[in-house]
Amino acid sequence: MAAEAARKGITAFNTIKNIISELKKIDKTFTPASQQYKYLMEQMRADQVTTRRYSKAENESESVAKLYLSYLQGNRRLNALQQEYKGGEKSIEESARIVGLKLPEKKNF
Amino acid sequence: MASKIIRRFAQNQAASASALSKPKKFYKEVSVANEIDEKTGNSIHKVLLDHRVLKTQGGQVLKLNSYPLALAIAEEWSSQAEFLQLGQMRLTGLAFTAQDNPLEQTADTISQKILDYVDGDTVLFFNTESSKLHRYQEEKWAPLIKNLNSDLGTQVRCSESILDCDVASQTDKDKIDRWIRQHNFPALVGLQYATESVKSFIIAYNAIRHHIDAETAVDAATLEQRTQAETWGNVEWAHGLEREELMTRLSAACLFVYFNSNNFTSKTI
Repeated sequence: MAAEAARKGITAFNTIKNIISELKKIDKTFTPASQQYKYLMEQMRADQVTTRRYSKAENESESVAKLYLSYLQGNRRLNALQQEYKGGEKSIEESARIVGLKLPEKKNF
Repeated sequence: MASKIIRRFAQNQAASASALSKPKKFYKEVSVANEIDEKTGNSIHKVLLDHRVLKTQGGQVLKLNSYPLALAIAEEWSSQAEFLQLGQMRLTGLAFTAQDNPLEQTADTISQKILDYVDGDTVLFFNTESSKLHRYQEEKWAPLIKNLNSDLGTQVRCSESILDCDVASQTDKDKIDRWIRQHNFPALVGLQYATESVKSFIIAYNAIRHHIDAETAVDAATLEQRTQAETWGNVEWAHGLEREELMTRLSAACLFVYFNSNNFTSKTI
């Protein structure tokens, strides 16, 4: 029982560590002085106690931490994909070149 | 809706008329301010952008009961780059919707909308045409139905015909309705958003009750598509994007429900 709780504590601990590293990636103002950082640290310390005493589901705190991690990672990957595949209109010259055509030369009078 | 937000947050942006132009980030520091509500004695959390208080589209000051939720919303604002991606700030969006209630929803209308999903729930209709897909459905969907039934004492069953209209009996629906109505209004908004994003009450339920993580939930919601992709290949710019978007929508909604239903999370332990 104690070993089980300790194991869960460790998993939640790792998830929170991952959250912190995600936040560092996306937010330049994220430092140990941030409110978020302090809160996460507090959770990490309190986790082993709260997991056993207050949780409705036995894996609750770990599950919530994982949800937040999924949310952050999903957003970061979504941004990366959007960046990679972002469209943008092609100019007439470019479109012509794709189908092997060339625009007539522009003449300035 | 987006254009409304843009107007509100970027009044100095002349280009806000176009849907393609994004408002610039107009603040440097984001923080959370804690106050005590004089009427109720509960603590209230507000998000500050520099020294301005974050307001909803309806023009009200955004007030949150949960401190971690306020932190997560603040994080959405502070992790923005040069331009604001308002559409990606799902928790902010949910909090605005819950506070402004633009569609004038009530617990009744939301609970009815969620219940409507049960009759046509994605995970209740198995396909017999492809044996591979059917095997996956037995593997991934059946446990989700079992979780719901054993938690709520219902007898919701799966069906192999899409014409079946009694997958959940009236008693089952009453029980589910009672579970839905335990939630306060903001949590209901989150529950509806979760259900609509994965097109399934049962998947949303399992994720919210911590039976499965967001990854597993999204896998279950896109089971058929993923099975097809095994044969025909995956198209990253379509399937990948959709998957990540679903992931953010579902995980944000589950967090929103959690933080609004568990007030102890707002107190220091």
